[in-house]
Amino acid sequence: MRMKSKLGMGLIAVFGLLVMLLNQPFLSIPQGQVSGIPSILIYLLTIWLMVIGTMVWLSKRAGDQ
Amino acid sequence: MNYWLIISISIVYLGLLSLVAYFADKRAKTGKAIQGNPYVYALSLAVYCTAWTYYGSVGKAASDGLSFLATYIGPVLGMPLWLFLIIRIVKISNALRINTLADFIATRFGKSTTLSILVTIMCILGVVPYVSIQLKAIDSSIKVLSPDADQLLLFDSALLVVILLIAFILVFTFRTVDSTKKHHGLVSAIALESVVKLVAFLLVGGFITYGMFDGFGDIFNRISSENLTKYSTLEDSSFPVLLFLSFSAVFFLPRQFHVTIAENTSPENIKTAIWLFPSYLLAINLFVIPVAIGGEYLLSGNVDPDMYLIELPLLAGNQVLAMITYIGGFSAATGMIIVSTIAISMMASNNLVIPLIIKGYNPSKINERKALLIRRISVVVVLLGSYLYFEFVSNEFPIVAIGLISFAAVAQFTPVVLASLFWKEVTRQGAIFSLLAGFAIWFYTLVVPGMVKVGLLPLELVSSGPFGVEWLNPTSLFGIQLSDPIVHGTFWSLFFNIGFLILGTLFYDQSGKERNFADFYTEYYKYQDQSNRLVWKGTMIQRDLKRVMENILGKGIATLEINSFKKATGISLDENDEVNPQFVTHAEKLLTGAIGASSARMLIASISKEEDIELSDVVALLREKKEISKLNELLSSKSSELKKKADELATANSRLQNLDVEKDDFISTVTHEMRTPLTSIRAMTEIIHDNPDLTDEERRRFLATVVDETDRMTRLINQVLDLEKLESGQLDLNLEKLDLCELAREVIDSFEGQLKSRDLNIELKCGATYFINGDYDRLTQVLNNLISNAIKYSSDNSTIEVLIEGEQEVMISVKDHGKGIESENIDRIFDKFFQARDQTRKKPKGTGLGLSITKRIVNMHEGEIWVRSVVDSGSTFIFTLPRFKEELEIINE
Repeated sequence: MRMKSKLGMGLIAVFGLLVMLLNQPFLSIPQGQVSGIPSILIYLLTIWLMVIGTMVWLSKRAGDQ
Repeated sequence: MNYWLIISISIVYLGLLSLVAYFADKRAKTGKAIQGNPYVYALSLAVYCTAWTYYGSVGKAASDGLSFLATYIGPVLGMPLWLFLIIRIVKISNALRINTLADFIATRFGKSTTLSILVTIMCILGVVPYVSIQLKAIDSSIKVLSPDADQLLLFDSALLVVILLIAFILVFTFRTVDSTKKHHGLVSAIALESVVKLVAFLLVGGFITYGMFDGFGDIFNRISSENLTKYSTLEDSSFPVLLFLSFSAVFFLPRQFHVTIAENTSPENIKTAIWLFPSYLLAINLFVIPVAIGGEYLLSGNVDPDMYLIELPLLAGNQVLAMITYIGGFSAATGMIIVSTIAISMMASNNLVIPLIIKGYNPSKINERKALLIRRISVVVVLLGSYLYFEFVSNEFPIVAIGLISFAAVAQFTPVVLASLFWKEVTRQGAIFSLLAGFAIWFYTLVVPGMVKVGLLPLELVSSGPFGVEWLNPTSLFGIQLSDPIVHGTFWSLFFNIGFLILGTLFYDQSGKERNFADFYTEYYKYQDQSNRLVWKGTMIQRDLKRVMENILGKGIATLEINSFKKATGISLDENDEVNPQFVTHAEKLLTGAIGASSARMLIASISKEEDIELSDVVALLREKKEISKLNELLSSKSSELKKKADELATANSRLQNLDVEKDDFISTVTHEMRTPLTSIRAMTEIIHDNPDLTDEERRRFLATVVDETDRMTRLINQVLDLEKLESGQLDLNLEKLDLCELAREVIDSFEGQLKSRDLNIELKCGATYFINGDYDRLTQVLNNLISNAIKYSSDNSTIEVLIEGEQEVMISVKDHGKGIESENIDRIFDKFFQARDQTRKKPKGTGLGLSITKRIVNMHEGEIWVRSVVDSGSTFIFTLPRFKEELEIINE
């Protein structure tokens, strides 16, 4: 199950993107509230769900290889 | 709530876990292990969520806002790397039968005993406090539910839990010395615990959010604007550091290493874990903030925020839900305690106690029974040590603070482990210095201030630094004060850790043994099937090695392994002979699975005269391996080349055989064709010769036949000669510009006599002038052949159509209304003598070479020829020729 280099690069890119999104200045962007809930919480939740979605997709791709 | 009810429910719960573990073990014995299920594996990883998650997250959220999320987002952040890192670590560990972090690191650096002991001590010191906070969580939750608990028992409830857990671990683990055996019962019980704590948290969280309040919006509306800021921003500078700590913790906490690596039954399961585990973490954190805000709103100042989760249902008068919450917390705590204790006691016995006994006592005293006993004693010591830590130290600190200090301790392994996987040159000394420096600074900056706080060390140490040296102050090392003690401690410990790793590698060289494992770790894809070929050099008698194997693994397993090895390799392992180096490597791997890498190494060394493997040995081996590999490649390439040549030869041979058959066929046909007219000529001339009284008329008739047959023979000989020239390439074309319609007209005119005699008609359709570059004589021959064939096969009184058309190339078709050609003969119609060989129909007049010659002439003019035919309707022969170049250019313009 050796990772194809393209998939490997993709995984590192996703990791880099996540590190970027979970640090300043990106964490300062969500301000205020949406329906009473702080925007930063919605921002973090969205990233979390995106990671889960990406992992589901990646696990299927890695399964094919 | 009644104290004895709580204790009874706890015991029943542990009993239920034991049942699950028992049935899972039973199923595994029948070959239906549920541990192999990827969902069970993924759920067992949720042992990451301890009582710290369950109670401490709420406490941390209530005091610091969103920063608690770093503990869970860190592992999520690392998920994309799991497919790289975890699969690699699992494969290396499986190949070398490694099942603890200490073994993983020590093996990489030549099975270093120093590293093995160092990592084990770091793990024990880092994890025992962490286990103690689980006991604290259980104890605190019991006290919340039953405030008079302490007065009812001779010893406290935490000790009772410790005793129950010791019993559980001893019953369900360490039944054999082989620590690489999977614990099916244990993993199934841990997976169940993960479900229990999640369901409990969701139930109580849902009750608080929707039962005690009107949902998320309502809860956020109730907090003061001052408190709302806490939940609306993440500008805390400690957040990235906490992310890093939890990112490392999910890889290197001993319990995580145990469930992720040691209990992994298939690397494929990781593909499910990478999405199910982050989903689990999301679900278990869904209600943390509502519970924290709810607790602050309704209970602020009165109770410990860590206990909001139990206090709130009690405040609402819901005792059942408070009990469910307690079970969830109990489940989170016991799961962590069980796995951590197993991992730590395995390390303590294999990487600390047994190596010390071997070194300082007598290697032969270590056997299977004693190794198991040491492991079991380690369980008791670790759990009792954690209990003592809880009693005397951890009561002074919040749950989260101790958890983070533990995280910072295991983060010290991150640089060394990553370097061992991706930096081939990193040395043993670099790893030792790195861990020593990192761990010392961790202890000084994070543990010493805690010891000062509980009064174990003087207060001056943190107020004015040791001996008044301010820049050595453990809370502001080198005069640098960072926002948070955890950030401060993590920064400096990793700074020195990485610094010494680099310096140690730059100033020291790798030994041969290290280089051997360095190759295996960093390029394991190349070597994963060759773990038995790791280098061992020395002298030892097979009998001694067998005795050690029998001692540690048991006689049955040792004999089985020796026999399997003999069968697989064909190497004889006579007891009085010198041992085979390959078998030593294999045996050492088996011993590693039982007593750890460094103990196995020491045992082998104690019964052999080992020679140091110098760099030159490794280089020589590598060179030899490289040369063999090169030779293999060369051989393989030569072999395929040879195969290709053999194939070509076979094809040529078959072609030659076909040609030989064709030649025989040809000679036989030609001689047959010549004999027929010769027989006829001979018969006619004999008649004339023997009958002088023949009339002139009769004589003329016979002579006419002789002339006809002679013509036929001449034609045949000419055609054979033509064909020979065409086939041998001796025929040169005299190319010139020809008007094809004109040529066709001339050929048709030459058949006038024959047409009249058969009452046939030829219709030439030539829509334009078509110039081509061709050989007049040869193309005349082509048209002659086709038209004469058409005449030959046409029914009387019919019309033959000759059509010339086309744009980029000229297409000439000759259509007759004869009997047509049967479909099975269409493909053979251009074969030499086809007509002559076809004995099934009435033989027509002709040599059977005309069409074959025609095809070759057309091909020489870069054209194609084919036939369309319908039986009883007629045939159309079509051929194409390229147009004259200049004419084509005019058309294209």
